[in-house]
Amino acid sequence: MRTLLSRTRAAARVPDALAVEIDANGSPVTIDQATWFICFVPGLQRQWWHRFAHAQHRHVFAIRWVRDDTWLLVEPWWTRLMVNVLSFDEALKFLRWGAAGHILEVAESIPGRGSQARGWSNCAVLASFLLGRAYWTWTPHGLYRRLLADPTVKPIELSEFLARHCRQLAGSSADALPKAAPPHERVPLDQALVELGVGIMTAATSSSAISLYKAAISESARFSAAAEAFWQHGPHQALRQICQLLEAANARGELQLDDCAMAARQFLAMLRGDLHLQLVFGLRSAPGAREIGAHVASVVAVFLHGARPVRQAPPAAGASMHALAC
Amino acid sequence: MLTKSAYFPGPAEPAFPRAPSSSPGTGIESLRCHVLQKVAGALQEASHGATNIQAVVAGVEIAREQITELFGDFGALVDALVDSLVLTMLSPLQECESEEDFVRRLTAFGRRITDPYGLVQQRNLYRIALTEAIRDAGRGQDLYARGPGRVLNGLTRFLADSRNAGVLLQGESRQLASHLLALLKGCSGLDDSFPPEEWKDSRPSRHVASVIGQFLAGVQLEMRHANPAF
Repeated sequence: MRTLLSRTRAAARVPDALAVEIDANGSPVTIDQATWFICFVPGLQRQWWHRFAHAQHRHVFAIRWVRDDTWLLVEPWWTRLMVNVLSFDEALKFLRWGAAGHILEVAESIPGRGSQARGWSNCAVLASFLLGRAYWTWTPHGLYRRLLADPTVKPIELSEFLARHCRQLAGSSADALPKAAPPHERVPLDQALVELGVGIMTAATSSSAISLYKAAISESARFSAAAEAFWQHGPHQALRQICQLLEAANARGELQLDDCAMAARQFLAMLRGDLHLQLVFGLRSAPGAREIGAHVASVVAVFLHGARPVRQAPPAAGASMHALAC
Repeated sequence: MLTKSAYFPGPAEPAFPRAPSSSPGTGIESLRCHVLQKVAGALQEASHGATNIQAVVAGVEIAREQITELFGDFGALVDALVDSLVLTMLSPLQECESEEDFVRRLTAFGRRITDPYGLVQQRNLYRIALTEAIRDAGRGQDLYARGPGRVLNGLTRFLADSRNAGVLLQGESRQLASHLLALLKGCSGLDDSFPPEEWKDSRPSRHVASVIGQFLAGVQLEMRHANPAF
């Protein structure tokens, strides 16, 4: 519900510059209630107070998925309050730390019942304050027990969450790939490969896809279901579409491939090439449409025609490549 | 005209060296070489998802102090392993003397990239490097430059030099180098380091000659250029 600040301006003597609309809670923008992962964790480095704390719950921090490749981290240090935006691969390192203890999914309260006058602000108190809770607890484990008693709070099993999350993100990228033309619409092979290649590279070079790829490679041994979900809903979909194109061209006699699956794998590897490596290792930002187009055109040219100069137009279908090459 | 034998040379190339290429000299160098061999062997054995070098080293009972004494820190140990692999891979890419020599050198290079012994090391080092890149973006950039970037540069230089010497190639040398490396990765399972069971061929280097042929001629049926380069 919105009200106009100007209605109260006369009584409060608010300057014109502050005559902004506010909502029922006094905020200039109404922001939906967010859901946080509250992570109760063992310490990464020895601290003097650890002897007084629960072994698995020596510290607490909060992290939440905002959108695509954007995660928000709030971690109270002894010396500061760290608030940072992270990519998925970075967030996963914190989630893994969380999984060493316990992770609870908690909806924040708006406007909340916490108080700035609460006093000594350790990590448990600050996390409680972030959630708008008025708990009188001083330790991470105390906060954990209070939250666990709340029926709206859910414990999170990280490997299940990651598998779901990876499936969702990779699936949305795969859905964006161009659909194969119907059989009656015969598109030249090079054009079809370029169109598909541009779709694959546009999806594969987004910041979200790069983070997902890095996380899947780095954590594949620990979270194999998530890596598998990424593989099945990401690269595997791309491979299947490339393979279908190559098999159709093989059947028409334009190609003479013994193993279309292997050729599809090679084509996908060429599409990624050094461009993908540079993105993965953080040497550059995502390429624009023009750069992707030029890259894919070069890949298709070498994949189909090789690095040697081509002399003539293709001969009749069915001729042997070896016979022509020798 | 380029002959079939030039496109598909025989298997007379040296296998991937089983030890890092640094030659033992002084006592320290000899010790470094010994430790590199042991860690390379451990990387070879670590078939399931090594993501940090400390864990790999712990498995071969080398003291942390020895690593610090010989290399400085674990990061420098990773650097030394990467350097060793890269030097081994690039060594066939010397100046070529003829068209056939060009293809032979490319094939030798391809065999080193796809040799089963080096592949597992590459996969594990890639995963370790990528994990370090997530933790520290600057470190990731350094590792790219030291590893994949150096291999790409070396191959680019070789293609450009060969072209200057008369080998007929079309396209920009760096792009061609990227395409060839990708083709080799595609045939060896290096393009994706997971799921590990996806790749079943234990001898990918058998395919290298045909991959070099594919790189030069493409997969579409068509007429090739008839003029020999030399």
